[in-house]
Amino acid sequence: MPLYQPLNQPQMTSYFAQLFPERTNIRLETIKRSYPGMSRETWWVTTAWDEAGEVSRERFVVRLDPPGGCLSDSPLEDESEVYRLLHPTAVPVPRLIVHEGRAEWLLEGREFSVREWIDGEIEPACLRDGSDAATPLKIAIVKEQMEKIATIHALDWEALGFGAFLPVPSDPANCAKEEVWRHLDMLDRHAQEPLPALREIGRWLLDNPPPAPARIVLRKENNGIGEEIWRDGRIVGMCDWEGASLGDPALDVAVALNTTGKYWNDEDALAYYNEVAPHPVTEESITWYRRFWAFKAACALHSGLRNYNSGRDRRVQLLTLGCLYPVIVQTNLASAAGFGERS
Amino acid sequence: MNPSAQDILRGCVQNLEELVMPEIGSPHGKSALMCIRMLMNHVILRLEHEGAALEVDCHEKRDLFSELLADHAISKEIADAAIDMLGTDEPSYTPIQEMTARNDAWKRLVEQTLGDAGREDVRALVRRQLRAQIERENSYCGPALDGPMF
Repeated sequence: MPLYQPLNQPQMTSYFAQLFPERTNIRLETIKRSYPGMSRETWWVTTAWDEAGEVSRERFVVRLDPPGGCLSDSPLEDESEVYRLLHPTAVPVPRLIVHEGRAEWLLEGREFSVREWIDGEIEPACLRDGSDAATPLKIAIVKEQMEKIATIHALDWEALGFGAFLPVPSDPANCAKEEVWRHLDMLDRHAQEPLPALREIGRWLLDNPPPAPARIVLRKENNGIGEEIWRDGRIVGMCDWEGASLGDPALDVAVALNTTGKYWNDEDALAYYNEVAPHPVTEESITWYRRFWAFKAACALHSGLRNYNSGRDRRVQLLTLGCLYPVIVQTNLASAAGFGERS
Repeated sequence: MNPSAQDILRGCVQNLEELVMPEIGSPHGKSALMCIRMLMNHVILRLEHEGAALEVDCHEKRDLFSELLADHAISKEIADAAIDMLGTDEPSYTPIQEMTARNDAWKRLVEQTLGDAGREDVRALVRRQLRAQIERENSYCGPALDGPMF
């Protein structure tokens, strides 16, 4: 299996031609793979075509699993469905053009999605400004992040149809425990070696669950500075929904705070989220979900080694993430769980 | 751990060959990379064969010097040193794969015990040993992750 599979240009040209039959002589002008794209490949494609003696252009984003398969269990089709369902809502997401799963168009056997391109930047420029004058701008950025995740949390996910393909927790009181069970089950299916300490940390999380949330919400999970598309201090596109899930909103807030802490302190950021969100989350929940996020990452990254060991995906980043990171997480969380070095 | 140290290095060699080598323009960089590739392949082979080879070689040399002593074929000074060496047993070598398989079996037993542990004192004992395991594992993983990877 090659480490790097270039996008099949002739096939994609034919694909765009049948997608837009009215665009004469459509061609792929530029193709660039986004970095790092570990879990899924994201390609930025500029198409050009002839129109009334001029050349017209439109950019798209093509998303597909790596040749060795996705690191997560979540199929690409589910991610596409998230974009489709969210687009008419107040959550800013790019429009899904198509999810392609027809056999004749698969790219080396892989399904793919095509979505619209949104202009913007991944990191607002003010965040790189070290002057005092930039402080209010940085706080405004964190507020915008909190507002947008609160917007996601306010959605009626049942009415929108998310319950049809995302696992639905049995009730708010058990949603945290069910997440831990899902990840212990992931280890049962994918662990490449016995991991008694990581499993014991899972059991400790089960024995010490957070307070139940007021309601189950839709979550982006992988969110925060560096994860969204920004323009003029506003989030104009929330991308990378492969981790979308239903559960306690505290997880999204905990993940966001991991990226916003250097721009605004966690207490004020959490207080602001609680001002704008439909239901408040507690510091206790944030602490639990920060630990759960690390545990979840350790389970998922270790499980990613199955693709390396089977020879399907030999990228070295899988090794750094899968061999080293879980051991460090294990060390840190064991202290919290009462059997680590600092306990 | 799975993958083994050798298999980690095999992946590194493949990534160097397919992704890094084509990007290197300078002859110095290219030369260094070709040497790194060969040395990594050398380290893979050493990890696989060196321990067993040293064990066999020690035993062969022990036999050799026993024979030389019996034949009085060496000087007194060398004979004294050889007698000194023969007074100590040769260290035995256990391949890492064998140690890993044995350790995995123990870890599976620990997993089972913690899954069943109703008694707090049992759990506390097992957790104490896990703490020692975690510290040892972290000593060869934690220091390696010393900066951003993206």
